[in-house]
Order: sequence, then structure tokens, then C-alpha cells
Amino acid sequence: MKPQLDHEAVRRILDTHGASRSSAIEGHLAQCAECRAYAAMLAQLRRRTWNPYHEARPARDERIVATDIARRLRRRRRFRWFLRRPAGRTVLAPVVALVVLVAAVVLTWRGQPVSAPQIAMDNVAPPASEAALAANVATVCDVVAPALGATDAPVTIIEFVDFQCPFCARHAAETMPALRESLIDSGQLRYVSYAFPVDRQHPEARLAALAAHCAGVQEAYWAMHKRLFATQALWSARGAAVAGAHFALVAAELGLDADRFEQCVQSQEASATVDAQIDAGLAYGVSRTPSFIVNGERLVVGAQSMDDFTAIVAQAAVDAKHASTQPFEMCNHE
Amino acid sequence: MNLDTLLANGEATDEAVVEYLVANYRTGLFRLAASILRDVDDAEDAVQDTILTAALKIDQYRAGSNLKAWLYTICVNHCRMQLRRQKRRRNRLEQQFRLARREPGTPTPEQMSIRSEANAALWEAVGRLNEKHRLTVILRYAHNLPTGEIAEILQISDGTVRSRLHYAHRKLHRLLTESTP
Repeated sequence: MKPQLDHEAVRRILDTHGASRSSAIEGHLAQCAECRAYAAMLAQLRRRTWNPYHEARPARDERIVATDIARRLRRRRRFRWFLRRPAGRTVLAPVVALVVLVAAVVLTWRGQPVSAPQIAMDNVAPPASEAALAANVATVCDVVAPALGATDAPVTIIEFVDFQCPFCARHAAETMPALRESLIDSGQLRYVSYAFPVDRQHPEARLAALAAHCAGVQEAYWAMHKRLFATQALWSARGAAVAGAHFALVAAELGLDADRFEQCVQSQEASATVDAQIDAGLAYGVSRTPSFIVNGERLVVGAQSMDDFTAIVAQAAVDAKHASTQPFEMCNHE
Repeated sequence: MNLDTLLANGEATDEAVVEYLVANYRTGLFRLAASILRDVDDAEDAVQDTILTAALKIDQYRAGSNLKAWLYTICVNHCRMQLRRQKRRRNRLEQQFRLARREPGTPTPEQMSIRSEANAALWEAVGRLNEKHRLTVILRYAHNLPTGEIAEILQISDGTVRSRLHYAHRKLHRLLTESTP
């Protein structure tokens, strides 16, 4: 007697052979409602009527479209021809120089670490009122987030990072190791990480945030955090397909369960967690990354040097001595 | 007259190439772009960009090779760029609803097709696949292309196409089973 086919074998055959089925397959389908549903889904896919655009036609007039494309084509060709000429290069050189200069100024303005006095004046928002603070802390506390350091540390800093942001990468590479060694491991600081992908500038940042969260589900958030920043140049601005493949590779390198990881990245739960982290940041007025909330009271914007962090934590520890409770004591930070 | 003949006879002016591509491939490219972008206006733009790119790079086209696959590759790449520009899936869905409502008297293609709940559920489930699996499913089923041609368009191996389809089938089945009461 032939062994009975299992569900996986039946589905593999259905995947490959479609409508032409053997009697063994038909026998299995007669008894298995789930595989029947699977076969029906494949049949429905092949009928193509599920795609609302399978018979759609473009609305714009064909001649107008052809004329429009031809006009754009002529313009492109003229521009290319112009650039190949010495006069074109003469015009182009200052334009390129100007663009590079503007980009450099913007990048410097966004990412330059500021000195301690500047932090006090510019980069630290004033303490919120008590009511506003309570509301913000409640928003932040609802969110499950990965944390490092002792739960009873006098100071808690929440970082808001965008994994595609170069300044966050610099913070992770240059400041984070020292922060961990001198403040977190010594019990002075509890350090919590929230994702704050800025989609408008960084289309793959949200996917990276999901990957980091899903690594966290398998107890590897901080390892993934480090790897995503360290390998940023390999996946950033290369499209979702490249980024997705890279994150799966990193997950495999970290020894994560690939199926669980993939399912998690696509799950509504992971998406909701990242959204909740973004909402928490917005509640505090975060708009750029990296940003840091210190003891629920102060917002520090931009990458800081280790000296700045030492000063910020020391001041927050003094302030905390006068407070009766720690704002994040009861939070869901793990 | 086909493109190979135009090229061989030295009659492949910009206007002639554009006219030929618009007349013969615009509708197919539009259906592909609309299936990927789920937005008819974005699809029209993607098709125009595709034909413009193809005409600009016509010297890279090798006579006798698969013109349709070459155009579809360009179109898929334009659609990917367009998708990156779109903010989040949430925004895309909002746009879809807006498009579906904008001409109350005239049913959109979407409204005409999503008469059956099963079709609507499957369309929604395909939309929830990640980009690489969604593109493979759209090319295989919405455009009835063989796996070899999909491999050529997406510039991956035939085995990868099969493996993506295999994964996509299971994911779709799971999504549809979860959504069934």
C-alpha cells in the first residue's frame, strides 16, 4: 500500500502541476478541507480576476502620450549633448560645487556634536510641566522596548534612532561603546532604545526598525542594533528588496530562527510596536534623530559626545535625588 | 513593422521608437504598473518613464532578444522607485480609497473587479506580501508569465522565482485562512 501524502507534499505538487492532478492528490483533497482551500486559492490566482487591473486600459490619449514622451526625449538628448560640450561642463561645474556645498552645510548642521554649553542652551528642551510630563511618561510607558542596564539606575535615557540615519550610526559606533562601559554597566544609567524611522528621508528605515524589533523578540535586539548601524552602507538607499535580504542575512548570522523572524517582520504586532514607539517620540516632540529623553523630563536632540552624556547623566542624577519616584520605574522596558 | 526591422533599416528615430513602443506595449506596461502601484495615475507616469528610458537606451537593446522582458524590467524598476517614494502602505491604501471614490457614477476597474468578496480578499492579501513576493506573484498570475521570463525581468534565478512563489502561496493561504471567520 502506498504511503499517504502529507499536506506539504500535496501543496508542493499543487504548486508545480496546477490543475492536472493525480488520483492520489484527488483522494487527499477529498478528505482534507485545508488543502482543498489551498487548491482553490491557487485556482483563483490563475483566473486573474482577483487583480482589478487585469483588463484596465490607460486613460490618457495615446497620441498625446507619444508626443509628450518624444518631447521629453528630445529635451534629455539636448541636455546630454550640452553636457558633453566644454560650455556645458563650464556651466555644470559651479552647479555641482554649489550642490555639494549646500549638502555639506546641511549635513554638518544636522549631525555635528555640540559642546556642553550649547546643549544647555540649544539642544535640550526645557522640562515639561508636571501634567504634560505625566501624560508623556504614560505614553512612553505603554510601549514595549529593549533596555540595557540596571532597572534601579538613577537615570534613564531613551534613545530615538533611525537605522538609516548616518548620525545615529556614528552615535552607535563612536559613543555607544563608551556609554555602555562607563555609565550603563556601572549601574548609573538605564538605556532604552526606541525606533523613530523618518520615512520621508529614509525609505528603508521602517523595515530596519521592524528587523531590530523582531531580533529583540528572539533576544538579539542589541546585536541587531549594532549590526544594522555597522553595515548601514551595505543596505541604506538600495531599495527595500536589498535591505530586506540584508536583514534576513544578518538575522541568520546572529543565529535567529529565520521563519519566526520573517513572520515577525511582516506581522501587524511588530508594525504596531514601531508605530507606538514613533507616537511616543512625537509626544515628546522628537522630530530628528538621534534624540534622547533624559529621565522623562528633557529632550536632547542630535548626536552627543561622551563628555556631553557624562555631564547630562550627572545632572539628571542630581535632579533625581530630589524626586520621589523615577518616571520610568514601572515601564514596559525589557 | 517591428522594432528589429526599424533598427535594421535605420528607421529607428526617437519618434518612431516611441510610437512603436506606445502602440504595442503601453497597455501591458500599464496593467503591470497599476498592479504593482495600485494607483492608475502613478501607473501612467511609470509607463511614460519606462518608454522614455527604453527609447534613451535603445542602443543597449539587442535585436532578437526579448523586448517585452526588457521593457518589463525597466517598468518594474521604475515602479520600485515609485513605491519607495510613497510613504507608507497606510498612505497608499488611503489613496486607493480616494481613487475608488472620486468618480461615483463610473465604476473604477477596481470596483468592477472587486465584486466578489473572494477576489477582494485575495487582492488585499497580495497587497500584504512583501515587495519581492508581491512582484513575483503579480508577474506570474496577474500577467501569466512563465518563471523563466520572470527570472529575466527580476534578474534573479529561476529557482529563486519558484522559491518565492512557494513562499508566497503559503503566506497567501495563511492570510486568507486567518481572515476567514
